[in-house]
Amino acid sequence: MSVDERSETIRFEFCGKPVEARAGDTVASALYRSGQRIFTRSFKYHRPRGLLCLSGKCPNCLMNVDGVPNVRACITPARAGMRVRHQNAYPSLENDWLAIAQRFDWLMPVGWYYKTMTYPSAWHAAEPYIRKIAGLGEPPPAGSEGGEYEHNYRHAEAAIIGGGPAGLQTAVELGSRGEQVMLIDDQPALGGHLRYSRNSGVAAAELIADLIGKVQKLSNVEVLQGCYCFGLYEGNLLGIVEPNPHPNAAERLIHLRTRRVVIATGAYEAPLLFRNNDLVGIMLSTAAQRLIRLHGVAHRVPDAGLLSQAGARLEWDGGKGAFVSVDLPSHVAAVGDVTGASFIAASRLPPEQVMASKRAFVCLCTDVSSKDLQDAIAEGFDHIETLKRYTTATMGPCQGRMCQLSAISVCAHETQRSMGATGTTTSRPPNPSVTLGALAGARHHPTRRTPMHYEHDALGAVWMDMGEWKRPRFYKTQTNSEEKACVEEEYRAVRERVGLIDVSTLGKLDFKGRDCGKLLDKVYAGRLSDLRPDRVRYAVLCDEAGIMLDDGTVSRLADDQYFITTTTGNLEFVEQWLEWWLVGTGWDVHITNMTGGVAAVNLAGPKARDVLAKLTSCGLDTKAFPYMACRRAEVAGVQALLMRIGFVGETGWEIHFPAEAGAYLWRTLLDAGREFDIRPFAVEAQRLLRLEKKHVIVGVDTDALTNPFEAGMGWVSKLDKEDFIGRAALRRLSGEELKQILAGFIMNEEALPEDGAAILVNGRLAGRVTSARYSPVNRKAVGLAWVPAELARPGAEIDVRVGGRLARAHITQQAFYDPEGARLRM
Amino acid sequence: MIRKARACGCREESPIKQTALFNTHQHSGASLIEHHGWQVPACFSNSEDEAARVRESVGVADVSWMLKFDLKGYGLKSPLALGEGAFSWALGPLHALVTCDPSSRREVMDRFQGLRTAGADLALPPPVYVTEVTSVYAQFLLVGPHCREVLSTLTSLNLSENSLPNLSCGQSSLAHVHAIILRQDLQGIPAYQLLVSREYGESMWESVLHAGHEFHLSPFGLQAQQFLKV
Amino acid sequence: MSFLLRCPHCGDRSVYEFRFGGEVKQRPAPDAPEAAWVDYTYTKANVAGVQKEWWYHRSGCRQWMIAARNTITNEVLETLFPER
Repeated sequence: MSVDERSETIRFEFCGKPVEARAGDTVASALYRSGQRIFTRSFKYHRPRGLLCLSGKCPNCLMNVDGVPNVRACITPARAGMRVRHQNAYPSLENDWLAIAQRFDWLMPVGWYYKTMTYPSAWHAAEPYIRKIAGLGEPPPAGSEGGEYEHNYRHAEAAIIGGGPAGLQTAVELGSRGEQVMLIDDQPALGGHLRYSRNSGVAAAELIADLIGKVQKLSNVEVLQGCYCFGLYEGNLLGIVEPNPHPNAAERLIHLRTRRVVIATGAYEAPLLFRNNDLVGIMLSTAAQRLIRLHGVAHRVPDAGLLSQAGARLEWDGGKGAFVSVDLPSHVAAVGDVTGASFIAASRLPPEQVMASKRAFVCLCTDVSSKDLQDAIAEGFDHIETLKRYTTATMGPCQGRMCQLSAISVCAHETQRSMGATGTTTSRPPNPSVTLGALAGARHHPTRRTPMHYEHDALGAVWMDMGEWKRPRFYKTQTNSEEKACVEEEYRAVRERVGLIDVSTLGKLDFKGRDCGKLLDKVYAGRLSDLRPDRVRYAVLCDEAGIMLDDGTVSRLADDQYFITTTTGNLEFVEQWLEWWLVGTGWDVHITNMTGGVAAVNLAGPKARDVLAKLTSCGLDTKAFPYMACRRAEVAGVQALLMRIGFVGETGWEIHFPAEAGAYLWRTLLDAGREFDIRPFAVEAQRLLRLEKKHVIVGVDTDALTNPFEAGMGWVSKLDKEDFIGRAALRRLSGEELKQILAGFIMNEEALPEDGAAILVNGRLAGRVTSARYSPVNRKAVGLAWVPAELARPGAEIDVRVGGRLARAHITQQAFYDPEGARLRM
Repeated sequence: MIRKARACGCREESPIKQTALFNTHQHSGASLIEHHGWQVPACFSNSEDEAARVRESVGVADVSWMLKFDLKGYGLKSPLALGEGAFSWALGPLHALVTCDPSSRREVMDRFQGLRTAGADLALPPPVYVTEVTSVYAQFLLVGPHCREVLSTLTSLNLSENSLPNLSCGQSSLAHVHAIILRQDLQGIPAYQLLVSREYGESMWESVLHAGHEFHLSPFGLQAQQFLKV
Repeated sequence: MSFLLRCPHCGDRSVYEFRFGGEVKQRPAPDAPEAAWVDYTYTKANVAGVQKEWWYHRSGCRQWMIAARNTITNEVLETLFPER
């Protein structure tokens, strides 16, 4: 009989308590399903013993059934009204006082009765007690009803012992030849190991059904089912016992004479030898297989994690004893056992006797017992999700696979809710777990290098990261390797002679089209449509709240062509921003990102013109090439765009040219400048140079809340322009009192604040430093800081926190170097 | 007369043009030659071996010197007629990339001129705007029977025959960097051109070599390229 | 989160290829009262349901598009390039 044929319930009694069994259950399988785990106590030591073989071949399940002692419960079919009692334990199987015998095992070595009871009197004194405690089982009291016993005499031409595949096949063969065959099988049904073994399945079931069908059709083959053959005697006499042949008879002994005997008794499994190999719960693999396949004692859980992740709901189906997935989305299907279609609920969960046990482990991963769950629920964590989090049950490596069902059943039991009402916890990926290495994959670190990268290497650059870009921070020289000294050398070169810096990381956008001016006027705060060809203008981008987003230069190359630079970090954003505002306008504007294709350098210093003049025929004097002009010209044979702008405060040109000529032109410029003692300079020196000119760096000196007015750059916005981004907010801000202002300051004493240092006034926090550097020109540290508006007047005193103490500084109005800007226009 | 499409450019004759991989090629011992003003690896080891490895497995070449033009405008609604040596790739609804060998420069420029003036109404803006972007992209040629497997390690772009057939293009993330991927098989051998913004060139070259490790991917030079085209 | 957006040019792509550009909103007229500008700048409708929103295909064709997405299920009902 297979698991699916269960229908009726059989009720019997075990030690006075009712037990439910199904058709096909043995006494042992029914007891096991009800939660019974200890089935007897061992002979000498009274150790608890559980089911081991489930095939009548071991002593572990001997019980008293209806007064009959030593009944092998595992092969005895359950019958309604049976009264089953345990044996060899007092008062109960779970608590047997004689288990104390284990402590005295040293008194009972092998052959102890031979060795100790050498005096007759000692033996006679001990014998009654030994007799009482020894042995297994008790005979029924005199006069109790047990049934009658019969004998039977049978003859056959061939007797086959064993109704497994081999026996069945032999029966078919011999029977087909016309022989009188008796097939004796001690199991409840034919099929032998194919009924329960690993190899059983559709194919095996079909084979057995086929063989049984054939056997049944052969009238000359008789099957003795559930009968066991206990001996083969002289003259081919077989002794066979048939239990309960009819209601009045307890057993029938069959004497079977046969001409031929075929032994097809198969093989059985033997236990392994290891320490504590008799513990309850250790069973032969074939016993486990029988429990699962013949008696349906297995808690099967559909492996439905992926279905839950797909959005299916889990609903408890009591008949199946499982949560099944419902409401699958349209693109997901479930087939096979994950649907729970073939499931039949196994034993009721949880068994009462483990509810308050500290050793009944619900969660093996985290050692959480059923008692722990009970306690947590008593503390108020009575929802399955909070119970999980408080106890960590289901949160270990198995992620609930081993314990979800038990945890839910304990919760349901304690809170007196149904399984369905208790519900499951949410299943999330990854399950099973995935290594971080697999998730990360190969280490691709996109790195952005300028065309002059290896020139800088050769010049002793010390590198820094600016996002994905590699930029030189400063250059080590033959005489200096320490940052402060190197930076000062580079600074002096620019102020006194000439320096060259790689600014290729600037974002560069090419604009073509008839309506470029319209778009730029719309998006930038200033006016750009009136920019004359060959002029360059500084421009600032604001958002609708009037906050500064980015700044850069705008050069007009032709009526319908502009060239725009952005800060290094904001190029992607600016391109997207401009494209977005273009949508829906119908304007003829086409933007191309040229950043990687254009190398850019800034040649700056009083001797910059002398150096450049050696390489180009373009007029460079201030009349021909004024400040804020741009020209296209050849420099050392390379087509370039020259812009006369002055971020660092000296006469200089920003030169933009094709990236493939990067190394060549860089070297050529340095060669041309050698006679003037030109130096390459890098980011740190540039920061100092521009700071002395109070040039603001968007994103360093301004943040996500800064508007142009408080940064001292109100002049960048042309409020009389027609509608542009931020106009409404900027108009409003222009009329308002400023609360804080970005102001310049000079330290009164020797102290260098860090970028971000706190500013205090009268002991109270009033602002912070955004940038500060030591200024050789002022022989003190200078910087930019946010201060309250009332303090933004020349001479106002502030305290700056430097290295744990307060240092005094004062506000300045003008730039710290060349406030008139004369050096720029030389 | 075609408007000057570039803000800056180089004289063709002066052999000073270096790709983003110049330093890498030097260090790998490649022998460099001049090619249309660019310093280009002729071969890395032996050009016959290099070509053979490409035919058997996969190889990668630095072809950043190839001409590239970015085209935008409503004129791109209709297909472009550019002549034999040039290929046009659709990057967006009104956005195309044109690639060609440097030797076709004159011819392609003439074609662009034609596009701008053909039947154009002067009251309307020009139908096509052209910007040369040869310098803007580092360009690699990935060729060989295993090139698709190498690419699938670096990008989630669907490379199947249906999604990216020969002479079609796609844009996606390649080793975390935006790339234009052009499929252009070489004499029946599967091949892709990978274009990334030039500043990522060296980084991308490393990523491609790393991804190709399983298939013994190695770089090949200009000479091996000529063998493969024959 | 791994839903697909159908770029009208490039086809179905993972949402991570795109940059979210906010809800589609009507920009007030230049001379609209301040309340309208404050609302436009700071207030989001934050619909629990189908929302029209901007997406930029930064890893692909680098075009701006509008999508109609159900913010509860992440189902994208429609994507289109707006009129140029």
